[in-house]
Amino acid sequence: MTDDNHFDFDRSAYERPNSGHVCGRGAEWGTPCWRGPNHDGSCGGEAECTPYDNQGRWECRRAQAAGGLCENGPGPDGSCGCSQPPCVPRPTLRRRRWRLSVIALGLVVAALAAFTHLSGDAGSFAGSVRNAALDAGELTDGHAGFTDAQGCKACHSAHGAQPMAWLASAFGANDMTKACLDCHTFSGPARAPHNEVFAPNKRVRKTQCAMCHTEHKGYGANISGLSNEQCASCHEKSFSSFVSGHPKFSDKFPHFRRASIKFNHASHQEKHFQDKNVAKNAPANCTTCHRTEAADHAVAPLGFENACAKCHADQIPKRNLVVLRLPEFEETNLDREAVIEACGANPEAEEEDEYESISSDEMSVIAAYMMGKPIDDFEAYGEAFQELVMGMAEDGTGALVDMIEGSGAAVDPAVLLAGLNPEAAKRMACAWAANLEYELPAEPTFGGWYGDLLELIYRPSGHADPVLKGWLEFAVAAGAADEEVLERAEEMRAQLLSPKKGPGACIKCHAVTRDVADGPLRIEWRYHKDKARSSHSYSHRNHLTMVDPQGTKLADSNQGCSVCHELDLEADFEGGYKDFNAQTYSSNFVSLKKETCVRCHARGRVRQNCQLCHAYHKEPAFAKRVTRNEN
Amino acid sequence: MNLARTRYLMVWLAAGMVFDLLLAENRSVRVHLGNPRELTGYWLLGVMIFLALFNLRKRLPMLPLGNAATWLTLHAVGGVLAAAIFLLHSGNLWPGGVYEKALAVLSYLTILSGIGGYFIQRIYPRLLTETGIEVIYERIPLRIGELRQKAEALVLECCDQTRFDTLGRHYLDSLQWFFSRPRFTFNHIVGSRRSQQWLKQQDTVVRRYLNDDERKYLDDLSQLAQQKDRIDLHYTLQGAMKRWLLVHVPLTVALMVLSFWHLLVVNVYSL
Repeated sequence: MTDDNHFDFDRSAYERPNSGHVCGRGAEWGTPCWRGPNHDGSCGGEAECTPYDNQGRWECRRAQAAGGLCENGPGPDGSCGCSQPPCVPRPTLRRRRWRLSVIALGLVVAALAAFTHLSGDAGSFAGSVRNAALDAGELTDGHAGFTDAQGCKACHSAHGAQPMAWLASAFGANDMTKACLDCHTFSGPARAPHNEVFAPNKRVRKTQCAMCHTEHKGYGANISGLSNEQCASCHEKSFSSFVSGHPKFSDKFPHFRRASIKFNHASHQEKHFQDKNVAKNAPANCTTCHRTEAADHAVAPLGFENACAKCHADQIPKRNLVVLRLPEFEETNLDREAVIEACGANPEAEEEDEYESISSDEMSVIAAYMMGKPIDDFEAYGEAFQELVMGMAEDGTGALVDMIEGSGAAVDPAVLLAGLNPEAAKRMACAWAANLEYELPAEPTFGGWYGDLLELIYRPSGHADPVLKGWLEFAVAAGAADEEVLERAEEMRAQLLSPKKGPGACIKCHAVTRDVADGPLRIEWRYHKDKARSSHSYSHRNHLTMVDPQGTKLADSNQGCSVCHELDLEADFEGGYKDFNAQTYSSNFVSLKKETCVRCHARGRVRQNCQLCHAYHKEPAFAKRVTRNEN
Repeated sequence: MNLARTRYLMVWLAAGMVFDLLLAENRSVRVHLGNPRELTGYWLLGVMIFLALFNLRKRLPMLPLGNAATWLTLHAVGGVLAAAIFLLHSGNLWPGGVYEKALAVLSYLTILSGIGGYFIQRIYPRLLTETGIEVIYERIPLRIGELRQKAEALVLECCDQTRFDTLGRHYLDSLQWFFSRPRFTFNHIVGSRRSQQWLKQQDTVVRRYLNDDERKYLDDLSQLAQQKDRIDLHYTLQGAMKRWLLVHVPLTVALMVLSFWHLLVVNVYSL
């Protein structure tokens, strides 16, 4: 059955699909009128036709579909004779769809407008609702705590700007990296790959933090991961895996720089530890001196007290520092009465017809440098040294302080002369002023300052003696534009920094290094964590749980370390410390080869992705305090 | 293979190729440390605008923009492509931000309503053809009105001619409810035959109390009821084919507005 008949022009009403309304009667399942609603949505079927005025006679115009001419006919005033109460037309589905669409659009726009117009701190309810319209997701734990104060503005400069400026920023580039660098620092250029300085090359492009680190991925998200393909996209030599294609390790790897502590593993292992006299103190294995269980990249030694003191502790106090030595004088310039006034009459002092100096020595290199006088010229240093002696005789250490300060020393005299008793200094100076040797009341037992005959000496009390460290720092920093003074500084430095004869034997073990050409020297007092290898990450600790393919447990104290670390008995280890350059150096361990790692890091064994060993950034650090001080 | 299937196959192949190219480009951009979300985001926006143009196309039938069937095919396949690009763009099913969650919800609802609508458009026309009648949706109230008038006239005639009111009372008790408006809407939606059972039951219940003359009227009345039932089916299915757009189109509008907001926020804050 079809309703074909209903399509005839005189049997069906004209359908208006674009009309916005349908008959209200039809919508309520009554019989719809054939005229249907008007365009404005009002009922069009109140009258069944619009009578036609035919030369003064009104004629019915009801359509055939609606029953044709009606019985009543038009009224005398031209009104339809078949009227009915008006219905309330209903919107069509199309109109309802349009209305719903407009409502949906309005709701979204209104919600966004309302949210974005709220004001308040990020922590307040209004602020959090406003941010909901902009929020791209939770920050990672590393960043979540640092945006509380500024909110989104901490990273997004456009946030909170005036509407026009806010909109304008959509058409300009956003420099997110700049915001990152407010907190993050690197030892090289932040926008260069690996924070390194490369030779000009078209292939080297500027980097943005967001190229690798995209935020708003959730509290625990990892935003620092890179795939091997991503690493290979920049590197000219690309390879598929560590096993196949990765370049060989350099000849020095991983010993690019000499250690700060000059410990010759080869000579200790092969020579000293074999000596019957010290064998009882020799370590059982590597882990006796190196704390492997807490080791990460570097396996720091336990320190002097635990690793070295048994053999080397008593060597330190044997090497005294001679700060002053009474030199030989040709004549005395001292006023005898002034000496008596400062020191009192000395019964041992004899009045001489002809002056003969009690000393036939040279003065100390320290005094020569500080006074700025040649060490062997009586005429040059005589008056100055005697003035120093007289000054010490009058007020103890004051004249020494003046001399140190006068030399332009970089170290505080309070550090250099710490523990020096002014009375003892005075007594020694008085003896010297009387042209006598100063005799100690008793033989020195402990470390500290002593006046001994013709010398003012400092005996180090033990490892890390602060006074001795101060004097060595003083020697290292000594220098002058004058060639003659510089020569004396070099002489003092050579004596104090002598590995074999230097005071305290400090430089026997501690390296003296010049980091950059023509830069200052520095004594490496502490264990040096090699910064040159900061882009290589390696965890000794993580490897301790492993067993190598031959079945050796790496945590085995006796054999584990030697799986990777092999002593090089031929290496010129000592030669690496003869100059101040830390790079010209031969380790007494054989350099590691790629083959050593490949034994385990291979397909089907341990993973071998780039980031396992290589860190992208160079010495990442923070520019700001990472903890807040609420006080 | 008919034209429609060939057309679908071609469009599916084209969509597959587009997505494949986009996947490759997305991977390439990611590997080269670019911003793949920028790429997929603009692609997604482009596809969404193209999908929205389908509605515009329906409003401009006078323009030679291709036939509606082709557009429907492109719209359906494009919708699936958009869903795939959306997942590629967002990277997960549930994003982190509040407004992004709203965007995801709108996307899912739009996709689901679109899938529902697609199946409605594919399944219901076949069911409508099986009824053997064609009815213009807008004329259904008129047709139901006509059938109701015929039924009432038939019942009155029966009472008048046979002098018994059994059929009349039966009509008032049950069939009047049936003829008053479309019935069994839910059953028609889910393809149930409950309306037929109900009509058969009404026929059986009263037939035993009627004499032969009345039974002729009952037969005619049952025929009218069957016609009405088929028109009800038309009303329900054609209504569903139109009404799903009451959900899909407003959701699409909201989704487009929020997508443009997302585009603006992303450009202001990060790109």
